[in-house]
Amino acid sequence: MTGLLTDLMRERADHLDAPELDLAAITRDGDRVVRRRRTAVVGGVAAASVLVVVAGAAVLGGRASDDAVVAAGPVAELDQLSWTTGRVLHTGSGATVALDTDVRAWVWVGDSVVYTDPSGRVHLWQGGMERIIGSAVAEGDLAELVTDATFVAWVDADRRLVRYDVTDGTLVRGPSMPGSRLRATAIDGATVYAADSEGVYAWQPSDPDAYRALGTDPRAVVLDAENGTLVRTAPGRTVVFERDGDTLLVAAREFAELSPDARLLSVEDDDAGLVVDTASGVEVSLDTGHEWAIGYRWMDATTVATLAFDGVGGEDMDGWLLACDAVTGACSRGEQLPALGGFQLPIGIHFAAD
Amino acid sequence: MPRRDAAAFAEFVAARSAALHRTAYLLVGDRGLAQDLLQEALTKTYVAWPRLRDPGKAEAYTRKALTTTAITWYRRRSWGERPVDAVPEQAGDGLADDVAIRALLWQALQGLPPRQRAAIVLRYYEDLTEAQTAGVLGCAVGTVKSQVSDGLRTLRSRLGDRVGDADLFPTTTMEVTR
Repeated sequence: MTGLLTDLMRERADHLDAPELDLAAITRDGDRVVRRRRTAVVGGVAAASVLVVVAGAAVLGGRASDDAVVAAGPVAELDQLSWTTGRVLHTGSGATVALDTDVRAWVWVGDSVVYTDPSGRVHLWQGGMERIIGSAVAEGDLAELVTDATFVAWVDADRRLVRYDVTDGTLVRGPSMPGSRLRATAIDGATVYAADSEGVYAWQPSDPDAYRALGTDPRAVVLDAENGTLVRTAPGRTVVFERDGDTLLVAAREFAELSPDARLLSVEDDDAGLVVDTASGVEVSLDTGHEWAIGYRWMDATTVATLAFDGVGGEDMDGWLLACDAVTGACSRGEQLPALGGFQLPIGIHFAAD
Repeated sequence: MPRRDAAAFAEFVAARSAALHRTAYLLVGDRGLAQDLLQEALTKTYVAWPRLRDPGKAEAYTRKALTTTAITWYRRRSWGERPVDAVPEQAGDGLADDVAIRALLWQALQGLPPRQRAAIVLRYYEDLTEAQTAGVLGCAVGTVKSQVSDGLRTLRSRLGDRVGDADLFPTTTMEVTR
């Protein structure tokens, strides 16, 4: 006997007409959800990357000083394929380093590590020794640390830009900026790029009280800079690259990373990681074998460290780190990452669980 | 490369939407709401589609999405206390009596708190085990037992002495509630 209750539920439900579902709306809304989640995952990376290019010398008024040195490129090349879980740093070679406390966001600075902890303290790990070198504030999922060559920069608890040289411990604090929500967005050699609610700036620490406004549109953030060539966010999901009067527009979703010599641009479009030749505009797709990918750091002139995910739309995303060749698009098999929220990459951005 | 296979998803929707719609209807008691609920649950399923892979997982995932979404709607008060389709008349004799009892039971079922109602629908319409029901509701088996017990007690009290327990509930229900 099934009972009156079960009989009643069957009687009521089993005679329903078939539902009139809007399959197109389901897939459209679902795709929108996926996009939002992806943006949340790499939101910091995305925010830390899009560009318009101007000549560095012109931007900075041709200033000549020791601070005008431009870095040749990343130093910690293979170590870009490393990550942290809690307070442990895992390198691509399999070696691990136990840091003093949990890592919130971190970067390689040469063969040293600079990281923020959950309390906002900035740590320097160098030659097996560790010490606190400052305090930083975080603005959501934006970059907390930016680095180039021997320098690392952040925004301190007093809302001032700070640039620190790991070779000699020199720390320089920047001037007060006019707007709110100040953040360091990029560094090219000695020049720190920043943005706040009032605009976008370049700061030369050799003159701590001076900075140059690059524009008043806070959305045109300088997110990458190499050899004086800048990259800024541009409206309409487009990356703009300008060099010597030439302009290259690249359709990309929210992210771009310039190679050390500014010849290649790593972007993501329609879930695929792409590398664009900035001279010819030719694109190469990164053959990651994963559902979604983005080249997040250049390991050398033609190899890009790549973050890939499977199951992007689901609750459990599987992350991978790969090394991809920008010429052929071929990628290494890669290292599987812990669950999202359980790892941090050396890009100065905190990856949250959701 | 594992991407969203729209054709496979459409096939799943075509094959299973009628059954899922029935569950949705029992959860919310209104055909229009049930359709909206199913549409929203299927959107969540589509988002998770690459990792669901086989239809059995997809159906279980959708059923869970139906249930949790219905409970969420209730919390947001977008639905909840609603007028029923027909007000049951006082029970009399014979067929009229039976119709009135069923109408009263339906009304009482719809008046249950959403978690109790969901637990009863999953146990006695979907025929899930207590463990499976706990999995869908995201709670402990003990919680399922208490939700079902409380819900059945309320239904019994609403029907009064019009019908005996043995006629009202399946045998397994009696085991749960006693």
